[in-house]
Amino acid sequence: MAQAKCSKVIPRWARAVLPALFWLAVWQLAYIRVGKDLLLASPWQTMSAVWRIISAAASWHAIGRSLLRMLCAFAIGVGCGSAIAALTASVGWADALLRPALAAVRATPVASFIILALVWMSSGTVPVFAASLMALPIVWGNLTQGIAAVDRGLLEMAAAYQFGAMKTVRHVILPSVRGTFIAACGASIGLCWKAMIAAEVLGAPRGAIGTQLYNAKIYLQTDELFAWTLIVILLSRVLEAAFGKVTKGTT
Amino acid sequence: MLEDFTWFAPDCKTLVIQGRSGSGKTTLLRLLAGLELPDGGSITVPGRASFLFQENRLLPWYTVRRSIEILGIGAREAGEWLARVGLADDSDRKPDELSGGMRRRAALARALAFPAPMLLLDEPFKELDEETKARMIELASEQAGVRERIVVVTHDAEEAAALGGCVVQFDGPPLRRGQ
Repeated sequence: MAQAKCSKVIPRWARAVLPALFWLAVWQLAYIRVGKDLLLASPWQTMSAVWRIISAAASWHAIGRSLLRMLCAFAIGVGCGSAIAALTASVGWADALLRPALAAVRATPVASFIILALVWMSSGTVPVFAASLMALPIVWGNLTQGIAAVDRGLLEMAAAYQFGAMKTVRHVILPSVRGTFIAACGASIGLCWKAMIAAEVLGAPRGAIGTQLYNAKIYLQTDELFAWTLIVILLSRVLEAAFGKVTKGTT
Repeated sequence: MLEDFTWFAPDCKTLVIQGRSGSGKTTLLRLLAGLELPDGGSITVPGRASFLFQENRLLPWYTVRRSIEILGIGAREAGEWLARVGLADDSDRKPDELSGGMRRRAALARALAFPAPMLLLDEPFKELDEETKARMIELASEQAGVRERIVVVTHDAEEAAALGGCVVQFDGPPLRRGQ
């Protein structure tokens, strides 16, 4: 009720702009209060750094490489999660065998995976590995629940009409789990992105947003640190919006 | 549900099973369709079955025409079956866009379209008005000419009489009846 009243009084553009202005003001006041550029960059300094970053070709190279790693990690995580869900849903012993391992993957802090993976593989591969491990258990968990919730009546109908395994999967199971699958992918994108940036920070591979963040930190370039963080947030929103656009109307 | 049940009815092409709820009518259809296995004994049927379930069990993501097409039936034939049950103008609609009676007719069209020697119909005319029910009974009765065996489960004595064939009364669980 209060929200409805608010939407009538305040125009739509103002509802988007006013909160942003408020937080910018809070940021600026905090900057004035702290008074040290090393500890907190101002909104203006950050925006100037963003402009410097997007004006440099090397930055776009880093952004492109990070996005490519993200897409690879996402595809691997979703692919493996789906394959394992199909296996655990259809083979009892596979479920008993893999469920504890997947629960462990889900509960393990991403930093542990990153540090371990840095011992095993190259710094460019670690972000892909760490990020894919974020998506895998989510996709597996959601798909497993989705498969378990497939309407038994429809499965029985498929059996009565002699669908066979492939036809049952295509016409009954896949359409049934589409919603939970897309929800899992949507939830995984943000996690994948954050895990990948964290792995890039720790591994510092060549051509990566995380490496730029790491460099900004060690050279005490707080404005660049803030600017790259802002870029990471914006790219995360762009990825989520693009995914939403692609999957719109398919659930 | 069904106990000590023996049934041998070679002369009845259409078997209409009547009886109260819980007497094992649907269980018998499920056994005939191979969806359940008997604890003992044997069941001999003429071949695969086309089964109209008590619930419609239409695929909610497909149009009713598509639900028939995926059985391996051509678009034209699927359309013809839907026209015969009075859904010619609704064949490209999904189940949730249809009324209960229309969904029932769509499910009936699917069962009638599926080419199997045996047709199993579980309460096929529920949710239908009297006029539509009479047309659907006629349509189901025509199947006696193309199927080896039709088994219909119904509560309604009038329906049972209208369908023709042998009427078998199921009473009281556990069912102990032989014919």
